[in-house]
Amino acid sequence: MVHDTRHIASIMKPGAGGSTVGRRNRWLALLLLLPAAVLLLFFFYLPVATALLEGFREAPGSASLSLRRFVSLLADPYILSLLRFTAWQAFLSAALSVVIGIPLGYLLANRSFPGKSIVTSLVMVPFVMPAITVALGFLVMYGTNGWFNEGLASLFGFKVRVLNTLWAIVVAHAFYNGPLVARMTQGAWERLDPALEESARTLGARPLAVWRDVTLPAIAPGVVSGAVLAFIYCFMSFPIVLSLGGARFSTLEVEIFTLMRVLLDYETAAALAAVQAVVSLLFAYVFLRLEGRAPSLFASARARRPRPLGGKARDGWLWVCLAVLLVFFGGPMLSIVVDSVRDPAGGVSLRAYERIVSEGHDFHLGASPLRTIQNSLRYGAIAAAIALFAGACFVYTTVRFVRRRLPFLETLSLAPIAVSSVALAYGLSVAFRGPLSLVPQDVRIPLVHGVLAFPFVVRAFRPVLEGVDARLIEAARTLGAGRWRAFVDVELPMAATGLLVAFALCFGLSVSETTATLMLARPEQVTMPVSVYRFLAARDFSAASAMAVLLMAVTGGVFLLAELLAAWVRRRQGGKTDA
Amino acid sequence: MHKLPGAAAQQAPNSLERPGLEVRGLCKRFGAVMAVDGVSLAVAEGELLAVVGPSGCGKTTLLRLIAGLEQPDSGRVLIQGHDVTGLPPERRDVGFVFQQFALFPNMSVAANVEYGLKRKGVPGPERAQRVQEMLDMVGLGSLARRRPDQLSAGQQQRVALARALAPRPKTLLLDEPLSALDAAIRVRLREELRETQRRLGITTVLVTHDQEEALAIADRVVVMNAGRLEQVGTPWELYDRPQTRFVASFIGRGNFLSGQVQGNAIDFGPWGRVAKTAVPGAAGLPDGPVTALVRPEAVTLALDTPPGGSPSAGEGLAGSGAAGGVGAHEVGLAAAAVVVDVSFGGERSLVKLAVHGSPWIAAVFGAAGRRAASLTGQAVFLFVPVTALRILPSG
Repeated sequence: MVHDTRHIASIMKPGAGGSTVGRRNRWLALLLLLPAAVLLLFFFYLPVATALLEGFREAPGSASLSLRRFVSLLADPYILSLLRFTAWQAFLSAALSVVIGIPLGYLLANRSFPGKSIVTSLVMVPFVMPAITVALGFLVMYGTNGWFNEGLASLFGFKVRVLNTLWAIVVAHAFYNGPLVARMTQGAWERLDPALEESARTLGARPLAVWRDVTLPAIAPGVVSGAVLAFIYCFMSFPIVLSLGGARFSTLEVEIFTLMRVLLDYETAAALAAVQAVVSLLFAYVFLRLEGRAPSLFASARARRPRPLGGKARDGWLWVCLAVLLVFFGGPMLSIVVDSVRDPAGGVSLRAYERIVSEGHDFHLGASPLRTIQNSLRYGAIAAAIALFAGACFVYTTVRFVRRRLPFLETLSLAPIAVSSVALAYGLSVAFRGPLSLVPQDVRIPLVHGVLAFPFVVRAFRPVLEGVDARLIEAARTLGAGRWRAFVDVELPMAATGLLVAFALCFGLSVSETTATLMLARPEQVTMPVSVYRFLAARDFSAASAMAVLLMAVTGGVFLLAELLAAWVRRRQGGKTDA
Repeated sequence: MHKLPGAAAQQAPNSLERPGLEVRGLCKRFGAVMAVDGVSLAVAEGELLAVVGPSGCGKTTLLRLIAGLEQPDSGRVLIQGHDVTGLPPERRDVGFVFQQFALFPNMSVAANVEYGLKRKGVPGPERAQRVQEMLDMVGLGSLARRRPDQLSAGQQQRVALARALAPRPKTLLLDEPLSALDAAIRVRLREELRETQRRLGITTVLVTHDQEEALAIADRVVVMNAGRLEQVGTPWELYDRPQTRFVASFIGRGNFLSGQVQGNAIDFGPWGRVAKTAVPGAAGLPDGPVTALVRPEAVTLALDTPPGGSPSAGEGLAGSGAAGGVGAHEVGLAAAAVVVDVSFGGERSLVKLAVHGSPWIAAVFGAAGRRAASLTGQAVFLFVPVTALRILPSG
């Protein structure tokens, strides 16, 4: 209720809801933008620009620039079919993500059940699973002798080929992005004023008409912006396509990787990366415009009260959806776990785990498996700290000082998810050898992860800070608190839980990042997903599975820990008595 | 020349020699909108000044400028004679109560009230004592450990007041403090608010869109419109001697008569002419158009003498009455009116009438309301004594 009136007040009176903006504040705002500017400029924009510049050179190493390469690329039927296929699989993947995301989002927004906060925090785990782990899970689950086909064979007597088809790619992408669409759908649904649906009912609308006329228009912006984001990810996808699509399928990102790492044709790779960046940035801009429009229209004056999940008679269809989702999300993950404890000689054993904590694998990995786990945790913590600091400062400035949405600036901040990480890694490897050579080895990987996590901090932290009523800060100030004091006493405690969740997300993203780490890490800097990759390359599937299980445990554990901490903070703030 | 006695009287209550709060020539622009446009105002020590006006008139911005939550484009703010214009809000020593209370949701009721004392550096034991005092004062002593979201709106409002008053500020600023409450509790809390303010003797500015609330509890009332002050005065002055048509229609209800000053008389068209000297405050008016206000309670309805004869006969009588009070004890304007509707209001009912083709409103008391309702659709006589006419100097 408070939130809503503040929104109205800020429309009606330009000054209401904000703090005083003087010349001093303008300097403060610029200062707060500095961390994000340094991070993105030096570790994203300049390296990417360096990499993409190659695409404009007349000839390798030549100083003269032209668009010749782009003209010939866009006239090449092979490249055009590649572009078409990339967009088509991304479209199908986004569509399937929506099919999965809507019921899940409905469940999270409209039903309460025991352990809901844990489920809510674990829903995002697939999203931060390393692609290589997902691919592994899909191989085990959907392979010719996987669970899925064994089940089909015993029930109906036939098997289907899933791997190396378009559907393997699409289903794996939906595994990743379904949770994303679900969370954005959930957000839109929770904001929808229940009185709107109720008034439609009292005006004589049947449930289906209510859904069509009120609910759907209200959640559509959330669903569509989730779908657009999923489209961008799938458009950029690379390890999934490479490992599950087989040789028949290739996307732009796979082609860029092949050109760069196998054919060493940097110029063509750069030109393709530029084309890809333009397309995905365009979608990123569309996403932001959609999202900016979404919240206010149907905003709720009354909290939506989820009702308890009912039995089969009432919520039967929801239980069916749940069962399907459980198999869909749980299956691949469980497959990996089972695979990791399967003894090659038959039976169950923990030998794979023994192997990955022993020193015996230094040869493939370049470092002991234990060291790779240490690396992952350390890089994750540093990367999360970097992204959180830069991102929180950035959000603070845009919410408290600018106080209106700037789609262009936001697109710039979102760019790290819309640019080929192969191109970024290439640009960075050049930069680290040249102008950025002074950056210590140990923070290079965390910095890259920080750049890639930055857009997520911005996305996660903005709604949290917007939810802190600016009048609370004003109240603190009229009671004698300075600007800094008011921040520490009011904004920080209220945003604490949001910061925790953002930290966990960044940590998860860093721990699971594969492409850039694979291209940049020195032997002693190998991380967990890279070691999964190396185990697979060495055909040691059970060790790969064991490492993947540890990886899932780490990311899941961090999410759970963040949720528990957040719950603790909420409880503590609730019962706080100072006097 | 257009200054009426009411305008001069605005300096009367208390001493404004050394005002508790003063603003001089305050201006604040938001984009193309002049939210506050050259406002100068003095509030006496211990006075309760209410600022009323329609939404968007700049009253909240004026309050925020006083608190330091906005910086003025020009002009000055003085608290007890000290210029605080450049100071941030935390150094102005003001207590501010927000419209939606803005209680810190992450702190208990007691911690909310204690917050300002902590910031002031009041030592612990004294703090605890003062918190208890303040909570007892607003009658919430037993709810100290509750969280704000566990309180009713009325209780939250009391906590907000206790929190604002705990550090003993020099000035209390209230931004629509009662608008989030139900009608019944609003009336009770405004009495409590006034009582507390009087007991503490704290200089107070109350911003409200509810003119009734302002008239009920303020020492003086300011009417704002489009960023400017329309009029300042005691509630009675504003009601009885409004300076502009805006004030006249914003404070209370009224009927408006358009007239033309011609020499020694004012011609009110179908209502007839009256001598200029008979109308209060009209003696010096130059020739030209003029507007007069008639409050509903100044209208006399002849409900008990049935209007014998046809409506045309009644009009004839009204005309003769206007011409100079032929056959009447009192000089005034008379007309035949048709009762359109009556809205019952307990001790006082409002009668909607049609007079000379325009809507009028008259107040009748007690049982006369029922009598008027029984005459709905019929013609009655209406009389306005000339002493009840209020000339609006600036239109």
